[in-house]
Amino acid sequence: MEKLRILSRELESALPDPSAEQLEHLAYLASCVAAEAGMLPAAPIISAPEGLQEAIDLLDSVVMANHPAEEIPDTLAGNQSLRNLFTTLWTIRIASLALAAGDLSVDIRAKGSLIGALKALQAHFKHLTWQTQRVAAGDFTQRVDFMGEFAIAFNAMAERLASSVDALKQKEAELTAKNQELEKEIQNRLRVERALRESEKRYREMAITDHLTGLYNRRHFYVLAENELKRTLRRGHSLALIMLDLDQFKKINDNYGHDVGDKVLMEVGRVLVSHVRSMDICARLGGEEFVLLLPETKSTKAVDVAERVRLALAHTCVTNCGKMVNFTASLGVTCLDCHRDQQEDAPKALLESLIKQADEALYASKKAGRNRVTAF
Amino acid sequence: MERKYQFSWDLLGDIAQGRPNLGHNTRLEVYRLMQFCIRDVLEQNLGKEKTDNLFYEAGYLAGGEFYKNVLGQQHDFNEFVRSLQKALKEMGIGILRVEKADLDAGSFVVTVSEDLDCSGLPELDYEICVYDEGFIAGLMESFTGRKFKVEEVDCWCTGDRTCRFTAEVVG
Repeated sequence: MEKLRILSRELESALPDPSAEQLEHLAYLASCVAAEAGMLPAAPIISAPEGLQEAIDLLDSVVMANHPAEEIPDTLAGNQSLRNLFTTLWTIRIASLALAAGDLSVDIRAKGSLIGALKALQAHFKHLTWQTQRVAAGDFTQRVDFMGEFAIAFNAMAERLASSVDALKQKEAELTAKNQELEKEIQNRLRVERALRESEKRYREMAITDHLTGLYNRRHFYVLAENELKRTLRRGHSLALIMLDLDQFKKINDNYGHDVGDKVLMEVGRVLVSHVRSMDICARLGGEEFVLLLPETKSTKAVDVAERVRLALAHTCVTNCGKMVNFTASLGVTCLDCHRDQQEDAPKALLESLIKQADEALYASKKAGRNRVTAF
Repeated sequence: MERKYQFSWDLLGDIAQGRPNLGHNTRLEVYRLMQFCIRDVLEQNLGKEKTDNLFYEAGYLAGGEFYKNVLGQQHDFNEFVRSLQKALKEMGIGILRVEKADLDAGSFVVTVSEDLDCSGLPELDYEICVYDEGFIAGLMESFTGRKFKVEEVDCWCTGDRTCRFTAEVVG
């Protein structure tokens, strides 16, 4: 029945002026119909043209085989159409295998619908590669609008990355702000700590120095002097002590006022400091009374020092309302070397003894007419 | 030479005012009808090569004007690509994608799918998007400030599903 329907359709299209080829085809179809109806024996099977099977095998191998023929056999090489088809199939094979292996560098030069589809696929992969590279470089706005489900997955990944990066940036900003706050707090604390240290240092200095002359005060002198005395006794060295008292200082205060008296005291402090070594201890004991402790110093040297100080003070003056006010001092010197017999005493007692001796010598200077040095 | 047709963006007119009912859209066939008829007549009068050159130059002019008037000055390549993709898609010109971009070497490969000029055309033996070549060259030169030579290496008309263009700096 199928053959009869085909015959009927072909007959209709061929009429009214069928060509010789159409007539031959119609006759073949009619014989088939007759055979189907049992009116004629079956039509003979038309044998394939020579070489067709070989050509089919050749093309089949390019599509199906793992190691297909790379050249057209000489027996088929004369057929240009076959050569073109063979080349196209080979191009499709190479492009397909390369894409399957992830190689996007193959230059697909052939044309045609199927090749075009492979080129489109290759282009898609190249676009994706470029877009992924952009994402890797930090551009999370990349979106894919082709390749179906892959595009959905890619876009979801990019969106997730973008939101993660945004969240990280937010956290980083918060941490940076907190860090800055902490840094500020640390700076504040360091400032306070520095101020406290400075304040403490100032108070410590105030506790050990005489505010007017800047010399050590009486209490600290005793601490330092005792320590120095211990060291001197331990090493068996010499040590000298000089007591100094301004002459008729009360008159200066009475005649010129306490401001001038203070200026005189400050000048005495300056002169003393300028005449001693850094290792010497210089202090104001109170009122107009000063003391010098000179480690590693023998009596004659101590007397020299005392004499230089006396002379310096005698040549120093302070001004009061444009007038010069002169002053002098009396000094008494004693030395540990001179009193080896007392070295067995405790340092404190020994110090008291030395001070007493120097004081006696000082008194002798006063008694002898002031402005002089007396050695005990 | 006294000019009559010197291009100006203003020549595109106020479409909203002029076409309150029809708006911006027209059938693509009309655009192609005009382009292929112009191409036909130009070829008959000037020859194939001259016609292609004229289309390239027209595309180049259009690319530069498009950059100036639609995209505006761009400073970042990614932003440039994004803006261009958006504009080309929204205006129904085509779907642009980047395959390769080497800014330092001035070497690019881009594809345009569903191209205004060629997608859906019958298969031919030659690439046809010469206007697009010029258009891309105009865009790239406007963005980079460097001269480009753009060539269509794959085209719908030669059996490909997408048009592929190479753009290389010249000089």
